[in-house]
Amino acid sequence: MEKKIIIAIVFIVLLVGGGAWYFFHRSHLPEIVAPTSVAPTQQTESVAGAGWSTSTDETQAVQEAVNMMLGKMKKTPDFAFVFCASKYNEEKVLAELQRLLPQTKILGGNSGYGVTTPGGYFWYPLFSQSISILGIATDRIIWGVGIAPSEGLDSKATAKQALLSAIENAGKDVKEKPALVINMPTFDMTQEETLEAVGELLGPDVPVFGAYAADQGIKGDWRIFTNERIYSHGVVMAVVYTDLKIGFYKEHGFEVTETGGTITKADGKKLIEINNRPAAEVYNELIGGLLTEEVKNPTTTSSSYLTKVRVTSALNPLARVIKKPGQEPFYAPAMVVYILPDRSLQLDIAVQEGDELKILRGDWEILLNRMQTTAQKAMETFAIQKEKILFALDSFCCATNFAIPQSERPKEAQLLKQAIGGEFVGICACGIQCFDPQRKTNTYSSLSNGILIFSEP
Amino acid sequence: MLKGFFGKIWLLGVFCSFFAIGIMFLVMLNYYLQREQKNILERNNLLVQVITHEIESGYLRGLWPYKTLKMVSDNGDVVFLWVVKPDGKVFWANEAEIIGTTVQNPFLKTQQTQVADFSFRKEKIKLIASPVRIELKEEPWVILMGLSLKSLKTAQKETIFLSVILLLLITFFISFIAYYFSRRITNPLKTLAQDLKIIGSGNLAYRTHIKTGDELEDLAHSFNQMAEGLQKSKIELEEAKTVLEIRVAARTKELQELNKSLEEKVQERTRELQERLNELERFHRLTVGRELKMIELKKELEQLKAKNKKNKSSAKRSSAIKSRLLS
Repeated sequence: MEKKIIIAIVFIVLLVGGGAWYFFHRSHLPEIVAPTSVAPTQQTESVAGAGWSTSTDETQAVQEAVNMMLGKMKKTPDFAFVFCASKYNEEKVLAELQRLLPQTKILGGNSGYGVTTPGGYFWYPLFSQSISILGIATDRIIWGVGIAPSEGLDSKATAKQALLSAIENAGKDVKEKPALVINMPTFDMTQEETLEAVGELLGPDVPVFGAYAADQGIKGDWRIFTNERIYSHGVVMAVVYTDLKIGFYKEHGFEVTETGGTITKADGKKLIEINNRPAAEVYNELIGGLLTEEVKNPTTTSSSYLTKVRVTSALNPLARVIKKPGQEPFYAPAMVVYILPDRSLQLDIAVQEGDELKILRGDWEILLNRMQTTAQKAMETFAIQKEKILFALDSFCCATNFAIPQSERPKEAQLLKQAIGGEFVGICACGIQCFDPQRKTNTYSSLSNGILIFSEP
Repeated sequence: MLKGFFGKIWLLGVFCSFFAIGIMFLVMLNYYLQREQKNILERNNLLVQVITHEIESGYLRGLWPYKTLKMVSDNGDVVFLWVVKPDGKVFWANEAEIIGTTVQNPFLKTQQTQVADFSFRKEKIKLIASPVRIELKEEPWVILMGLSLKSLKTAQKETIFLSVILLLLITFFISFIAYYFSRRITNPLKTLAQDLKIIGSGNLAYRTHIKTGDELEDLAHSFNQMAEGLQKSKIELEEAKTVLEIRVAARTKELQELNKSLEEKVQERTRELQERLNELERFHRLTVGRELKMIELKKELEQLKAKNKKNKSSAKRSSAIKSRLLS
């Protein structure tokens, strides 16, 4: 009897198990071929090459980045953009650059939270440190770099000094207008004044593209440098003489609301009052009380507090309305850097009493879209074909970057790469200077995305 | 329990029930899984259509619906979500590193939404391929959405696991209940049987003490009553036996005495009889001589009788001849 029971149990188990297998098992299915990226085989010399590293050791980081760049270019660059996260010791970075690239002119500075390259998005918190280098070697461009500290000088004077130095470095004269000026003041400089300096020396029609050098959190630990010098406060500029096609574009992408006010008291980048009331209180009301707690208890030391203020202002920025007869108004968004104890707002653009302000509104989708739309608009505006792009320089505002969900941020690099195709480096900077072809003038605004593209004619 | 006929039938019934329940369970589970799979596909197909429309409407403005794409790709069922150009280049993907890479898929240039089984990174998936017509002159782009069936598998495993646990718990519970109630029934029966054995062995003073409050207690009570009756009868019987024994003893004594007197009488009578016998012998001896003389006399008588008879028959024949002669 016992044997029979065992046999019966085994039979039932086999039957039920077989049934289960039949119901739940599926035969072999075709495999989706995983996407593959085909690395371009570069056997010939290239005009530009980008290199990068996330090593925390300055020497190793520079070596890795330079070697990668040289591997792409096959020759030593005449000029190189070098951007690094502010945690690096720039003296060490420069020393290694001078050792590896003694003949190369360098325009460098801090790129806040990280860098963007064709190899990816190397920003904090995914990477604590990163460095990028974009080397260019072509006899169709004459480069000149100049740097000036702001010791005892205002922003305009400092910028003029840097510009003259750059022109001299290029072996040119002020009377010979460059095709482009690349401008990188430190954060503490009044960016608008540096643009005025270029206008006064070279004329308002000389396009400027640039962004400020800043550290992580805007704490004052930023640097700018050339292949010769490093400064904490000042301006570094590059002048470009070339027959290559240059395209540039800057956009914020925000929607303009009807909400706004008028500045009744201001001091440089400090917005003290709007509509005769403390600026922070008015701003908070205009954006629907999103910063009520922060306005009540202002501080400049808590990083979470500052992130909340800056990201909120990155999605609901105050914008200075600049109107000129016969032109559409230009909206210059500003990032709220701090809320000060007197309820005034520390901005990263200069404002004046009587300026009209508008509240802009955006979301992370708009901000992420800029990675492609800005490039596309530059290409459309200057009739640049993607296939002919040689290299590009992008500047993406870090406050707007942090308004984008962390999972989506790495796509910024891929979207930009897809849009322009060529070699590029992207920096983390909110305040961007760019020539506005419609208004025929250089403009500066924050919370934007800007791109500079060099291409074959 | 399983040795009896009932046990065998019961066991067979249990096996058949488990088998039937198992088959029924698998069929139902499969049915619900299929239905849920269909729901997942329909739901995600709808999402793909939403994405398609958003891409198509945003394309002219140069804006991509990244929020919608993220929301959809964050859905737990979505393994991947790719927007692919006609040449196979991934324009957007939920994973940043896939953007700009090239994908090969038979549905790249599909003109209508299609669903098929594929495997991706060794996982079985459902692939939804839907065309996106954003550039009228060119071939359509395509949205490729890979759907994981992990949630279904998880639900399936959980259902099976829970069912087995539930089955075990029910089996355990029923077994416990059956054991408990059978013990409640069989324990008093065992006690009763043991008590009856004691009573049966002759200890009629023994009483069973079963307090179940049911028919078993009544039965035990009846047994106690029976034992009590038996005990009473036994006592009475023993008493009667004692009386009888006393009586028998008394009678025996009487008989013994009687026997003794009789023996004495017999001895006396024997002596008397001996004496008479002796007299008789003497008389016998006297009579024997007389008898012998008697016998001789009898013989003489017989002889005389025979002669007489012969004389009588001759006389008869003479009278007959005389009668015939006279007739």
